[in-house]
Amino acid sequence: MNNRKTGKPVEILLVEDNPGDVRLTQEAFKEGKVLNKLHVTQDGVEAMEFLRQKGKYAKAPRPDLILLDLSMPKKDGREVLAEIKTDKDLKRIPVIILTVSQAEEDILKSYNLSANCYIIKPIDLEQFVRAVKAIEDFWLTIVTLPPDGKR
Amino acid sequence: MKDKLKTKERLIGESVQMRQRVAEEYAESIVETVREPLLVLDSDLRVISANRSFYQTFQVTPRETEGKVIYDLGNRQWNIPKLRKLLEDILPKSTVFNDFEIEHDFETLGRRIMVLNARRIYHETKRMQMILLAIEDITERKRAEEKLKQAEELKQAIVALERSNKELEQFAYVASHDLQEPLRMVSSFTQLLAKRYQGKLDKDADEFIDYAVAGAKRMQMLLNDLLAYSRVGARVKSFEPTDSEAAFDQAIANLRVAIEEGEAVITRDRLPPLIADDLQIVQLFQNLLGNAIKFHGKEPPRIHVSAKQEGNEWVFSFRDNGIGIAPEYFDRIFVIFQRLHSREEYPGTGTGLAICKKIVERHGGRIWVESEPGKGSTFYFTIPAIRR
Repeated sequence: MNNRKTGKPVEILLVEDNPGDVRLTQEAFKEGKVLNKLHVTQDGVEAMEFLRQKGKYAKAPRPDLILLDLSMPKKDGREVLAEIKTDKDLKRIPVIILTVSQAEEDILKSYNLSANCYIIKPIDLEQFVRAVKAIEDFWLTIVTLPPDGKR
Repeated sequence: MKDKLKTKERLIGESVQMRQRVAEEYAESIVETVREPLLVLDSDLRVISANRSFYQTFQVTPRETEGKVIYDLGNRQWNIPKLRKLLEDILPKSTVFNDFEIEHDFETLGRRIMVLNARRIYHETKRMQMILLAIEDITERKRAEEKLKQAEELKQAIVALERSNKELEQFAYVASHDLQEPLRMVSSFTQLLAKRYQGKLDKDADEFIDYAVAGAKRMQMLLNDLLAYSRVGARVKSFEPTDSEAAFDQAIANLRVAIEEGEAVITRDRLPPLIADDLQIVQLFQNLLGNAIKFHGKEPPRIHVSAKQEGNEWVFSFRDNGIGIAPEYFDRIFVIFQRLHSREEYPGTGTGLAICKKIVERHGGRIWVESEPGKGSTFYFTIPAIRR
């Protein structure tokens, strides 16, 4: 990946309203090998502002990867996903659904809205850390992401 | 002229008489034909006549009846206060009463509900007041109505029960689902504490953290199992033709590790095709086989599964050579979170058989166990056979 060559950190946007989950994800990414910068927005409205560089996010970087929770206040993950995937500038950014919901309906709907993958948050800490590491391993080292900047 | 007039008057008089007679005969034949018992009384409430239906219904003869006051008929079985009031108070004032219901013990008929209709009429020829009393036995109709009402009430009770069951399931599902989130926090951060600070604080701290981690893990297991249990009834998947031998193979595949570790030998006879929720049949088989492996005795587990048709249903049996169950626990083992052993002896939450029961009942069957401690158990369940 070009990031590693240039030494520029991978920009990750975590959209998650539960501070505990935010912290756990941060902890898991801290252990990672890839240089990354984790940005956090706590609801869907904020997430869209971040992505469209509005208001206090005017200088926000374009994320290389989005981790999206489904149940959130104001604008939930399904709406955010739909907006991202119908926006010609944003739709190439891989969106990983990271949620507690095991409901078939949510899984189907997410893929129908072109989620790039769906991960049910493992309940056990070890498994959660493993899942985050797997995300990092796959999406940040194995996968070739679309070239950024070309909005 | 006069003669002619007289003759005419006479002729008219005769024809009036004749018309009256025809009318009377007509009326009498109606009274006689009507299927309801009818009584004709005079103004002193003596029976002038009764129709055939009356004699048949109350098993009396005209001789015992005619000329008698109604209250004296058949061992005074008509001496009913409510009827007296009708005939003596109400009828003289209003000439008619309709659909008056009385419930009474009749000597010949037992307890009956009768509907009475009465009418005061003036008999032209006899120039007297008469009372026509029609008696209808509505006991059977009433009973049928009562039964229908009870059936209706029962139906409503069942609907209400089904609704409350559904709500309870929903509640269990939502509760266990929403409880997962905060619990995950407790459990994750106590685990994180343990990972980072084990051995860095003091001995007490390590012990406390261990208990917190263990408690949270246990709670998670319980919630997961409760969620699984409530999901059994919440499934919307309809029943489809299901190969129970394929379901059996799948259950065996899912249990591969446990079978290998426990050196279990599992055999089966031919198993029938079913109309069922295939995933639930796999789960049912898996839970029963899993239990048979888990609760093994000194010998490695040997399990035999068979099915035979009895009437309209298949009776499946899962026989094992495990530790067995005392009869006093035969019912309790199917209740959620009921366990017969300590967690050190056998891990688990006590949901497996509760889920089995729910699956079987959802398919319209029953589940039970026959067992003797130390001699193994046989679990039976029924599933309705496919109708041909």
